[in-house]
Amino acid sequence: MIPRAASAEAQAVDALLRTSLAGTALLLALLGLLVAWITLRRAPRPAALPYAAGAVGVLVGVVLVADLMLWAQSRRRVRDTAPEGPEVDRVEVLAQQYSFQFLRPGADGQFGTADDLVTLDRLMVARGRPVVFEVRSKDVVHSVSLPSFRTQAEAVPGRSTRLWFEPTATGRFGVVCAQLCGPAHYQMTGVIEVVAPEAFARHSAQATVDRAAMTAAGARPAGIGWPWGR
Amino acid sequence: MARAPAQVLIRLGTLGLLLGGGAAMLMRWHLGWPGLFSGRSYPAAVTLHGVTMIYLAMAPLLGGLSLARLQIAHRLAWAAVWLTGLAQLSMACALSTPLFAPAVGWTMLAPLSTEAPAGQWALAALTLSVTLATLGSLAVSWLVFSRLAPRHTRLSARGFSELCAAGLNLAFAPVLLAANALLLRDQCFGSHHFAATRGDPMAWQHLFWIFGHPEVYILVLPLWGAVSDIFLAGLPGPLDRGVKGAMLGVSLLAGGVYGHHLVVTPQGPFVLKGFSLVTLAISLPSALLIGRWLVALLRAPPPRSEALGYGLATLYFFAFGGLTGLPLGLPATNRALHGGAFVVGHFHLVMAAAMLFALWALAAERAPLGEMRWHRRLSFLTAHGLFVPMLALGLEGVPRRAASTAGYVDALYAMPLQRAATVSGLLFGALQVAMFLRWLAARPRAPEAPRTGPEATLDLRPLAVSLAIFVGTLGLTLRVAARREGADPRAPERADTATYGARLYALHCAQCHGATGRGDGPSGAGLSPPPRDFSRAQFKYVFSVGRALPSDDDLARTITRGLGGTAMRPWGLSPDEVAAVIAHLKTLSPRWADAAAEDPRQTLAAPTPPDPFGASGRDEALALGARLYHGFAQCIQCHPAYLTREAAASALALDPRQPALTWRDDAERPRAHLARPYRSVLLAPDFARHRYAHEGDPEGLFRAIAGGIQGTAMPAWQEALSARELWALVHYVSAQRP
Repeated sequence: MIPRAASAEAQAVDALLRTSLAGTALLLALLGLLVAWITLRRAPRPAALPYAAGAVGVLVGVVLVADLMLWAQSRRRVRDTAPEGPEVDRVEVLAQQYSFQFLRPGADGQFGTADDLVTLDRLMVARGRPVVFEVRSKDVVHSVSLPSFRTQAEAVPGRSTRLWFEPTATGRFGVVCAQLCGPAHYQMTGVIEVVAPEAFARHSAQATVDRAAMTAAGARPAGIGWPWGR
Repeated sequence: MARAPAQVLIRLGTLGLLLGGGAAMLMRWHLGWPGLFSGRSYPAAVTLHGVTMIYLAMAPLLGGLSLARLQIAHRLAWAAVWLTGLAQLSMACALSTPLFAPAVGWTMLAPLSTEAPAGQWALAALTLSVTLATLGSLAVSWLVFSRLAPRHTRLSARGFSELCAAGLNLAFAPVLLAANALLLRDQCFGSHHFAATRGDPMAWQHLFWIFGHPEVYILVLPLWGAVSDIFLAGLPGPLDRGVKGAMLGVSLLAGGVYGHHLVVTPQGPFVLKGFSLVTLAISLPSALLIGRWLVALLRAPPPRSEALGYGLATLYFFAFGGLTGLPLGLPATNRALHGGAFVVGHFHLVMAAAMLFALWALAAERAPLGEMRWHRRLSFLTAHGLFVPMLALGLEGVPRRAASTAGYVDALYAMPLQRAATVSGLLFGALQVAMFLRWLAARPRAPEAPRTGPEATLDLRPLAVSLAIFVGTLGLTLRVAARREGADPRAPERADTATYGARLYALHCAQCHGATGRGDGPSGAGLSPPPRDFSRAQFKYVFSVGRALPSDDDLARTITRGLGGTAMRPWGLSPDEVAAVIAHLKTLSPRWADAAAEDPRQTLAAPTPPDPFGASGRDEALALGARLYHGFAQCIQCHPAYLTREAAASALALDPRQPALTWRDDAERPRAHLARPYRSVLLAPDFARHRYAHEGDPEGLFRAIAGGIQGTAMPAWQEALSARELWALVHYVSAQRP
């Protein structure tokens, strides 16, 4: 049922999800059996249980251990801040009713210059290279959700949010809006295409050439291409 | 007919339950077999369902049950009844506003909610009055406990839980009240508390969830207390104390967990870690509660009864809901599941399944309804069939509040899961309705309830404490939130007019012209002519000499007058609004930026000369128009023949500049060369039979003839014909429609 894990984060998150869902299923099955037994037994007899200590202690202990284990696992496996460094593929994302604009800094590495590359509702990224989105919104609150990469970030007007993932599988994956943003909210979808690094390099070179041709003729869309934060 | 306030509240709550449940059934039907709702009405139904269930159904129902148990009929209780009635009335008003407006979800996130059309008024008024109603009813129980406690030495578990819920309500409801007041001020008086430029949309999210998460416990606690009384048979002892302690623990932690609703918003990792730990911590008193229930059930099994059966189902679903909350408490897994169907499944296990079983337990306890086993078992099964697929949909990455799951490429099994949930959901709903009807028929007549209570004996001190807490929280929230307004603009690149125009565009235009102006909006499909593609900035009606792009006047004219014969209707916008929309249109294509650099002299629009003929010279105008139409200008070549060949020949004979007569027999056939820029075949209209853009608008017709229609074969005639001749053509063309 869970879509293919397409990023390093997705694998870690799936491990956590599997643990907690399996635990849930196990506990529920035990509880269900107990409840069924209490309901169906013919002649209820008082059990010689101490008031609180034994059974309750075990249950609370199990929950406490499960909590702490999940907490530790999640702290160890999933980073809670965006990666930095020259190898990071930085992309600005402007969410608006009802589409996503993606902007790459182009050859000069600077946002807000003439060679910026803008795409609408689709983005190509390289397999194995960490990607960081800086997300903003043009109008209302949206959420840039990437189900196959198991992450998302809300686009709040007037603020920037970071979102990061490292794609590990090639293919076409969805980017969807996960926060009610208006009547066409359900149509606010796009595609992230993960390709092999060589194909990505070819694509980037071609896009730069195309962009240069466009720069001579036209302008940049409004509202995107802010200076990269921090 | 004399009734106690508690009975009226219970009735109003049950009404809300039926309405909200009905909305849920319709939504389920739509998700399984799409077609019932549109993109606009689906979120409106979601909002109706959420707001009704939480504020208009469960809150008055639980308040009423508590009042009924305590036999209270104080004036405050009547005030709660009136406020609930008022709230349900304002929900009805919200539903009758144009466009079924309040389509913002129960979280009402700003700025979507501040910019939504007038229905927001009703919605905000509703939450206000509902919160007051909840507050009123709970303040009553607070008062009463203060009166009862000293005399009756022991509170039952249910009484204790109601006290906890009352405390939470007093502490947190004022936060929502204050936030609602500020939201209303934003909507109606143009303040910027939650706007992006001079306020902060995050402030709303904080304020809403500070109330929104404890609200879950406010609703759940009294029912925990009720099933505790069933499991423990109301006996005192260590277990009773233990159950109360667990409920107190949950209440104390309830205010500190709301941050897990903000995991995907811009927050520091430290803040998230803190909230995550508290969220995990609240699972301990919850486990304690369930553990003590189980011990009680095993140590001293209560006699088998229908109520016990429902109570056990409640226990199971509380545990299920709580355990599925675990992945939502960790930021890492929360990021994968946030805002999705998993969340919906999780809280419905608690808020819908567990609470409904608890309500049935109360109903069965009050009045034996005979055999309920099959209702219980089937409901238990169908509740799984309804909510487990929702959890699975969430794992697939399907967002909540989505009118259709067709566009989500990652969700491979979305449709089968939706259908499974729909089938189970409809069965679940039918089971509840059937049981409700049976309960209606079999319920015992209510005993004579007092209409008014003993008021003289009331101790006013607890009321004063309640009011102090209430006013204090209200004032604090207003103060904190109001300080944020007027902060430095965080996004200076977004000018106010542009934002305003973008909102208006999204509201009025995007449905046909598309969000990005590509003419691909959902309602634009199949229109002929198709909606204008603003990204190409190619416009038909331009009346500015030597200029490719229309002036603001040209655009404003098209917006306010519409285009006859097309789906473009006249829009009743104010001049400010039109200007804002035009400013937004100009961001949709780079052509506008280029044009701004052009020779400024060319941006002057030529004025339309006055009509030289007037009413008296109409015959003269028609004669001259006919000569030009059929003769010199050869309008007849494209705008098809409706005169006989002979009549046309005699008209031509009058014109000295007459060219050779050519007669096109194929004049009415589509010609593809007219089509290119506008993505469809545009026929030159036959003025006698077709509707056309400037019908009934002589000035518009003049401009279309004089300036031509860009992107079509219609040339600009203003160089070739004099103003007098152009007006003659206007008269002649206008006269063709009987």
